[in-house]
Amino acid sequence: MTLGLFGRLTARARYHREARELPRKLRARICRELLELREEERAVQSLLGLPVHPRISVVDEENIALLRPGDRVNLGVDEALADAREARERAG
Amino acid sequence: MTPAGFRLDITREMFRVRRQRRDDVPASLATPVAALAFSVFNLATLAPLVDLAAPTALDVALWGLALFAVAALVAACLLIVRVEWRFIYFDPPDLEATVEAERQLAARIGDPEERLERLRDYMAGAYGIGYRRYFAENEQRERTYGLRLIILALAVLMFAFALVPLAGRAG
Repeated sequence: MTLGLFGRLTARARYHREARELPRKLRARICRELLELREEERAVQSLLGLPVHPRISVVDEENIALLRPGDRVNLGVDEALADAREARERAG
Repeated sequence: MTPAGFRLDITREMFRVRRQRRDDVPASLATPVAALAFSVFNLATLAPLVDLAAPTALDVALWGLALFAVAALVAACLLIVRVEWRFIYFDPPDLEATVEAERQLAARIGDPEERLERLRDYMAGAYGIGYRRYFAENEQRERTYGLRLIILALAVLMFAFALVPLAGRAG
């Protein structure tokens, strides 16, 4: 605990953390955010009649985490797989 | 200006305004925190006036009021901490995602003008999502409730100080 505190005093971030380096709790929370965003992105795509849906980046400044759209696969929010699963559920 | 350009301008402006408000949230906590510090000093002033060694009804009343104020202040602290708890930002698609979207659009739309319009809509959609997310996240209910609890604590302390002269004591 004490060492952790002193470590924080001297630590300096040089670059944001990658998706796979995030603590499990943070990963779970960001995954939930991304899944909610995914629904909104689909709604916007259908509203504007776009062939591709916009994909939002999520930034957690406290944890120096930047989740770009390309990182979603590393977080377990693979949209192609999720789409296939939803289509299967609708069909079944 | 084209309709897509218009949509992009409007949504980007709305996004920027909400983002600015988001950044103002931590600064808005200065007032309740200052009021909190002030309330704690008031408690320190009240404490020597309560005699629990040989308590009278008034001492018990003052002690009860002080305890109520402390409970309200602790609750206010928790609410104020919750305002900034799990602060997450939402940004429009980054360069990589935009290039990928452009590539996918190029594969489906031949006309460069039409492609540019679709790309503007793509960004307008992203800004629209960001705007809605910030609108929800900028909720200040916890800060407002925290401030109200601090005001309640101050009012209770004020009432307690008004009772002190009844005991004929001086600080």
